[in-house]
Amino acid sequence: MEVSDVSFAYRNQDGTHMLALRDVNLTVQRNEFVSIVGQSGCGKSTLLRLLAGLMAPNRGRITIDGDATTHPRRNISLAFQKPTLLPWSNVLDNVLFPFRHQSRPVGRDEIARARELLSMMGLLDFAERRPGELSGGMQQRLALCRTLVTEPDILLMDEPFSALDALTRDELGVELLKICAVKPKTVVLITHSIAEAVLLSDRVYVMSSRPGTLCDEVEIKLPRPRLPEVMRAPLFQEFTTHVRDLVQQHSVRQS
Amino acid sequence: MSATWSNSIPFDSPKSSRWLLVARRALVPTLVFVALLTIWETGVRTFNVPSFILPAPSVIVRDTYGVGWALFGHAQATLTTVVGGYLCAILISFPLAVAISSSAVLSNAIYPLLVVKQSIPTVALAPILTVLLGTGSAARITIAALIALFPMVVSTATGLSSAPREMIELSRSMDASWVRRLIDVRLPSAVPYIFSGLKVSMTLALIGAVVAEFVAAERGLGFMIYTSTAFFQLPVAFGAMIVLGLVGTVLFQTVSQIERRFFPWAIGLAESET
Repeated sequence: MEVSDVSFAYRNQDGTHMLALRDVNLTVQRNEFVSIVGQSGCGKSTLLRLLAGLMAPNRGRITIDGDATTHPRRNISLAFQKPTLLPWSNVLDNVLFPFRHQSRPVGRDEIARARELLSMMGLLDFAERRPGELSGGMQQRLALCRTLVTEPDILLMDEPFSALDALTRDELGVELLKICAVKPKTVVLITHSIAEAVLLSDRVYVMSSRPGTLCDEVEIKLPRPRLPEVMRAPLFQEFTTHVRDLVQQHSVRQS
Repeated sequence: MSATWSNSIPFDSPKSSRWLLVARRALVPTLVFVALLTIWETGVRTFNVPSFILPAPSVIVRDTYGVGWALFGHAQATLTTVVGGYLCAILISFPLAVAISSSAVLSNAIYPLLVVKQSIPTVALAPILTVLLGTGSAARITIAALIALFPMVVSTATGLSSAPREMIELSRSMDASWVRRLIDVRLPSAVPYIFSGLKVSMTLALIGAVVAEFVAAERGLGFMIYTSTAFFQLPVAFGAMIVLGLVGTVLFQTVSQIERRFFPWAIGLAESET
C-alpha cells in the first residue's frame, strides 16, 4: 500500500476550503501492522477514509497492490470508533451482515466462520441476542468479528478501542494480534493511545495537525508474539517514551 | 465473560399485579367520563333542552340503536374508504420518499408539488375531484389517499436519510449496491419515522373519508351525519359521530400495535441515535 504526496481539503459550507492533509507519504508492506498516532483532529480519520476509497484525494496518489484506489474494495475491511451495529439484527446476523450486504450467499462455511469468531471473542452464548443487550466492550468485540468475517487482506481501523476501558482495550488488541498471527493481514490502525500503538505495531507513524502530515516514523523492534506482559519490559517503556516525545514535539510546534 | 447473567436477573412481575396497575390507571379517566355524562344527562333534563339542539346521552343511545344494522353498513362503507385510501397513500408515498431522499433534483421536483397540494384544504378539493372522478368510491378513496399522503412522504423521506453517518460509510466501504444499502441500512433506520408518519396519516385518512362522504356518497358515517342533521335527527348524528370516533381509535391502535409487535427494536431508536 503506497500513499504518495497526498493532500486533501474539506469544503466548508461558506465555500472556503480547509486543508486536512498535506503531502502525506506512507508505505505499508504486505502483512505489516502500522499505527498512526496524533492528537484528535489532526486528520487521521481523513487519511483512513482515503485509504478505504470512501473519498478521493485532491492531490497525490494512493495505490494498493499497484492499483489506484478510487472506490471501496471488498478485500478491505473498515472498523470504526463506534461499533456501528444493526440494532434490528441479532448478534450472529450482525457478523454475517457483510456477506448479505454484498449479496453474497451465506452458506454453512460462512456461518461456521462467524460462530468461530464469536466464540474466540466470547460472544457465542449471545448469538441470538440483539446488540442493544450487550455491553460496550462486547459490542466492540462484535464489530471486530464482523470486520474479520470476510477474511480481508487489509484491515483499516479508526480508533476501534478508544471507547473502551484500558483493560478491555489491551485484551482486545492482543486478541487481534493472535488473529493476525493465524491469518496474516495488512493493518493500519489509527489511535491516540501511544501504548496501544507500540504494543501492536511493527511501525508507528506520528502525525502533526492542521494540516495533517506524517512527520516521524518509529520502528518498534519488539519480539513477537506480543503478550500484555511486553508492556512491562524496559524496551517497551523506551519506545513509548520516544513516541510520546515525538508527539509532544510536534504539538508544541503547533502552539 | 460467557456467563448467561442476563437470564438470571430476578424479574418480579406477576400478571395479577399488572392488571391491577392497568385497572388503577383506567379508574380516574373512567370516573371523569361517567361524571361528564351524568352532568350532560341531568343538564339536558333539568333545562328541557330540545333533542334537535342537544340530545341527552340516553336519547343518543336509544335513537342510534334504533337505526339497527344499517349502522354497521355505514361504518363498513367508511372503513372501506379509509383503509383503501390509506393503502393507496402508502403505495404512492414510498417510491416518492425514496426518490426525494436519494436525489436533490428529484427532491426539488417533488417537494414543491406536495406542499402546494397540502396547502389546498381537502374540503375545497373534494367537490372538484368528485366532478373529475364521479360520485363513486374512486373519488372518495382518492380524497382520503391525497390527504394521508403528505405526512407519509415527509416522514419516510426524513427517515431514509436518518441512518447514522458511520452506518452509511460502513455500507459504502463494503462496496454494497445502492439497492442493498436502501434495504439493509436506510429502510430499517427509517422505521420509527415511517410509523410516526403512518399514525398521523391514519387520522387524516379518516378526515378525508368523512369529507368525501359529505360531498358525494349514499352510505357511510359522514353521509349519516350529514343527512341526520339535515332532518334534525341530531341524536343519530351524535351516534354516528361516536362510532366514527371508535373506528378512528381502533385504526390508530392497530397501526400502533403493528409497530410494537413487529418492530419492538424501533421504539426509542430515533432518540437514542441522535
